[in-house]
This record gives sequence, C-alpha cells and structure tokens, in this order.
Amino acid sequence: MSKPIITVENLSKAYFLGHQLDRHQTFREAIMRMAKVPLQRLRERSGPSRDSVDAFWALRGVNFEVERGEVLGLVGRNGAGKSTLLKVLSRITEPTEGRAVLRGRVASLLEVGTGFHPELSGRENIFLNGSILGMKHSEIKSKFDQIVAFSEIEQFLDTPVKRYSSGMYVRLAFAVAAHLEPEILIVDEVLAVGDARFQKRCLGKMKEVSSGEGRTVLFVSHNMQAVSTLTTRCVLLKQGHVESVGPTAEILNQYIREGGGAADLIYTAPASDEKPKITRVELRTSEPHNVQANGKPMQVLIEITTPRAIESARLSFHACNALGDSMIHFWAHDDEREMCRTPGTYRLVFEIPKLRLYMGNYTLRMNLKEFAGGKEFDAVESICPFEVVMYGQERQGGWFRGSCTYLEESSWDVQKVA
Amino acid sequence: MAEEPPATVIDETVLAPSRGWIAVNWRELIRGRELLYFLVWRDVKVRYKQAVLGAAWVVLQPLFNMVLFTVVFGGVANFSTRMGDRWGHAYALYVFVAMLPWQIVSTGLNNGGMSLLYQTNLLTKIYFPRLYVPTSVVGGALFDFMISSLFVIVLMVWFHVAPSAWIVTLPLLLILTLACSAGAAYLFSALTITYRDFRFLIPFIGQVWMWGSFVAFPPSVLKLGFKMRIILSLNPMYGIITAWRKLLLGGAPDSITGFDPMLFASSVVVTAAFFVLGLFYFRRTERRFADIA
Repeated sequence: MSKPIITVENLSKAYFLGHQLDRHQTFREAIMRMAKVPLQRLRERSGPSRDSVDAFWALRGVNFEVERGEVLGLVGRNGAGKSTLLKVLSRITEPTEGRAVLRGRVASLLEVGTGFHPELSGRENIFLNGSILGMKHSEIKSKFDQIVAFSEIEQFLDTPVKRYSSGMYVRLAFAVAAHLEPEILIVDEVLAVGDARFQKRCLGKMKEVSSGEGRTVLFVSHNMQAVSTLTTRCVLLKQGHVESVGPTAEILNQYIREGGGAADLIYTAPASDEKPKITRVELRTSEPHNVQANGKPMQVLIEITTPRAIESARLSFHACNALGDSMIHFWAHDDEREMCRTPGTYRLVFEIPKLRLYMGNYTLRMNLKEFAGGKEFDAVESICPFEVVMYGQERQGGWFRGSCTYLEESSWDVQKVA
Repeated sequence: MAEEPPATVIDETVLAPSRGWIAVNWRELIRGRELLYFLVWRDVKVRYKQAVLGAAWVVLQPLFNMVLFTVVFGGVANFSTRMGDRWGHAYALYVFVAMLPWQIVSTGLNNGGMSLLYQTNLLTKIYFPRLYVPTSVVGGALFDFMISSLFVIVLMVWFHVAPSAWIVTLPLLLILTLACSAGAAYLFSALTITYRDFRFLIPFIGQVWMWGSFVAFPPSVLKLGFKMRIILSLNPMYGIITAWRKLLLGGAPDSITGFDPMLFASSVVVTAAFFVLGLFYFRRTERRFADIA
C-alpha cells in the first residue's frame, strides 16, 4: 500500500497577537528593548511561549491523510482555519507545532495572477506567472498554445496586462495555473471570481486534471455544488480543529446542519408598512426536533402580512438540498384561491401527504410575488432546516446518503418469459 | 491499488517548525534558478520598457551625479587641481569610475532593501525561495552595470586613459562588488520587513555610506588621521572603490586611487562577512515573512 501523498500530523498554527514575533515592530522599539533588558529579550526570542495569553490558535492538532489521486474538499465556516491550513501546506507560513509531509510537488492557487506585472504583455506574463508557479521554461513553451486557447485572449496577447478587463485577467491567470503539472494541486476559492461560464470551465478543467490525469487536489470552496461535484472526501474544519472526515455527501450534510444555527422550524419576520412580507413560516415535521420521516405527512404553514392589496399574488417555495438546489417546488396562486386581495394577514397551509424526499438535510426557500413578471416583494432562503430519515422502512443493506434524490411509489411484477 | 512510483521521483518535503539559524538550501536555489532569471528579466524589462529613455536613464543617473560632483568638487571646491594636472582634468572620469561599483551596491541597498516590501502579495500567496527577490535586484544591478560600463569606455577614450594591467582581475572584483551588494540587499530587505520603520533609515544609511566610500575624491586630499583610517577600513566599499580605480585608471598613483593592499584585504574580509551575515539573517527571519508582511 503506497504511502499517502499528504500526511498531516498534529498540525498547529498559532498567531501570537500583540507578541513581538508576529507583529512587525519598529526598529526603535527593538533598540530600546535591547538596551533595557538584554537577557529578557534573549529568552523571548528563543521561541514563543505556548501558554502565552494572547495566542490565537488558527489550527490545533489537525490530523488527516490524503491518498494519491484523491480530490479532497476542505469545508468549514469562515475563520475555521481552512486558508491557514492551505498556507501551511503551501509552505507560505510555518506550523507552530506538529508537522506535515508532502510526497510530491505542490502547486498552490491561493489567488490568481500572482506575480503578474501590469506593464508586461499577456505573453510575457504567461511565462512569468508560470515560472513563479513552478513551471520550467520549456514546459511553458510547450503548453503555451493550450494556455492561450483556454484563456481566449489571443488578440490581446501582446498588450500590457494593465489594459485587460478584470475578466480577461482572471481567465489568463487561471489558464496558466490550470496547465501546471504538479502532483498536488491546492486550490483556495479561486473560482469565486469570474462569471458563471468561466467557473464552469474551471471546474471542468479541474475535474479533468484530477480524474483524467490522476493528480491529487486539495480544494477549498464555499460553493457546495463545486465541492460536491469535484470531491470524493471532505474534511470539515471547525475553529481550527478537524470536526470530521468522510465522504463528501455526509460531510456537506453535516456542515449544512451545523450552519443552521438555532435550527428553528419556525421563521418569523416583522411585518412592514410599505410592502407585503412573509412574516411567519412554520414547518411541522412528522417527528420531533426538525426530523421528517420519508413517506410521512408534512405541513408547511406560511403567514403573509400585507399593508395593501396584491394583484394576482403568488407565493412559491422550494425544498432545497445541502447544495442549494431545489428538490421540490410548491406554489400558491391567487388564480386558484383568492389571496391577499385586501390588506391584512393571511395564513397558507400546505399539506404534503407523503414526503418522498430521500434522506438528507434540506431547507426551505420561498418568495412572494405579484402577477407573472411582476415585482418580487419578499424572498427568504435557507430557513426551517429539516432532516429526512428513513424511519420505519427497512431495507437489506441499509440506507446510504446521496444515493438518490427521492423515492417514488411504484409497483412491480415479474414473469418468466423464456 | 496504486503502484509505488520509483523512489527517485518522490519529492518528500517535511513541513515542521524551525528554530534559530537556518542553513541556506542551496539545492533548492539552484534547482529553481530559472525563476531567478525570470525575476531579473522582469525587473529589467519593466524598467527599460516604460520610458523611451529606458536604457539611457541607467546611464543618466550616475552621469548626473558625476556632473554634480565635477561641478561642486572639481569646479567649486577645486579638488581637481589638488589632484594634479593629469587626473584633475580627467576628474569626470575619476568620479564615474567610482560610481560604477557604487551604483551596484546602492541598488542593492535601496532597491534590494525595499524589494520584499514591494512584493508582499507574492510572499503571502505563493511559495518560492524568498532569496530570489533581493537576489534578482542584484541581478538587475549587474545589468545596469553593463550598460554604464559602455559609457565609462567612452570616457576613457575621451580622456586618453588606458586600464592598468590589473584589468584581468576585473571579474573577481565584480564578483566581490556584487557580493557586497547582495549582502546589503539580504540584510536590509529582511530588516525592513521585520522592523517597519527601518525603511526610513535606508536612504540615510545610503548617504552616509556613499560619503564614507570617498566616491568623489581620494582621501589623500583630506589628510585623515590614523583613527579615521581604521574606521574607513571597516567600510568594504571604500576598499572596493579604490580597487576599481586601480584597475581602470592605468598609471594613476596610489595617492590618487587611494589603493592600499592591507586596506583592500580588510575590505575583502568585511565583504565576505557582510554577505554571510546578510544571508543568514535573511534565512533566520524568512519563516515569518508571510506572517508579518
């Protein structure tokens, strides 16, 4: 069994706030300190004290392994330590404790266009940036045409980069980075820039790089869809610690569940004097504590308070999965039943006799509009988080997350024909 | 089941906390040297691309100093007459010959000293051997030297001055000068990142250093005491500049060039120590660059 390509053992990174080692000091202070207490300064400089009160541990005791050829996602809230971990693994900053072993060349994409110089042309910057990222001149030359084709800036190749639009800039930067050939590729949120089409191509390219060429990728993103598409395993970081490691679908669900915060089944918002608002949403699940059993009834109660009449009101809501994709769509239109034709508070009740959604974590998203093509008065997202479970339904081999989206009723029969 | 790639191909890097003085990773530096060339090329290209005067500016700056000194010291203060007929008239060349190596070191000090501060985005976003940053500045200085030396050749022809026999040692002297420049670049770039107010000291240090190196006239003109001369011997550039003069100004006596073998020897030693100090101080503080940038 080959050794994992990345081994992280008890990795910790502390920032000593206010301590001389991490804040850039002034020379004047240093001289004064040196003059005052030489011995004390020597002791301080020999290393940061672990029990220093102002130590902020961005990472503490992180352990995990990455196998060759794996695409590992790194998720967690802002401040969980993802970027710090990437910085350590990219050799940009040193760990305070513990260690990490990398068994392959690393290329990091923590920001696109690192090293681009505005005065140089696109062509020149391809070589410069590629070199900074670790490519040899011959490598860059052989891939030059591919890079230019991917970035789609052929006509502007010889103009200085300072004249590029931000979109062109990003495309070029990513194009160079995408054609690197490291054994390990570390990517941090770089896909957050650029338009949707570009993001799709980047994702495609990264997928090609990982599955086609068998490279190991360490991927950080807030885009759950991207993480889900690209990665097979994820590490969930919480406040500098590894909360859990596991298959992507499971980890994402866990992440969403935790993100729910107080996990209210009831959403409330104050009414407004100026426009119609969704003032209350209550989710009544079949089981207690936000849990809904598959195949059992579910109720959604929605209250709308409007200060004026709405012409042809429409309320639409979706049950969305952990990635934010809509799984089920429900709606209530004034055309079907009168609603919101006069100012006041209205309560809508949705009855779902058998919820067919498969096990997983879901939230509700809804909006309130007027006639088709009209104004949207209110919209809420990610409310009423609930979890669907397979209670009371036995199956040989058990139920696995992520295997399907919903369970449909069907009957089947078999006959021997030959 | 993945097959184990041949052991020679695996690049194992261990990332762990480091302490104290750190050795220079020569293998890494040599392996990635292409990047160094690129960084030098980038600096040079950008500087020369912008202005039509691009290449001319490199010559213009020391030229300007030369003119200034010639007017102030040669004309006004009359140092040139004190240097005698032969060399007094060639005063412009005299100054320029000293400016050549001085520019190399001055670039290392000023540009090199600030080089890390100007590249904080590179420091915090990507890994490459940090030593390349100040080293590329010295590389740029070498390039500027080549351009300026053309002008020196013009001046030498104009004043009918031939280089002395020592000219064969020019490559060695050049390397020594570059080492001094690099030492300054390493030391001061690390200092400016670590102590943020240090950057304001640099122009001041540059000025003091220049005057202490006697660029504009030989110290014999000033009749310095023994104590002063001991202090002077600690300034590596003083010895280096006298050596450049000895090389290029064929036939100039030591009273004009200021050359003294003992002094030069001490300059070599001090330069070597300075280079090593700069290098190791840089390596020692390198690990914190990204944190404090």
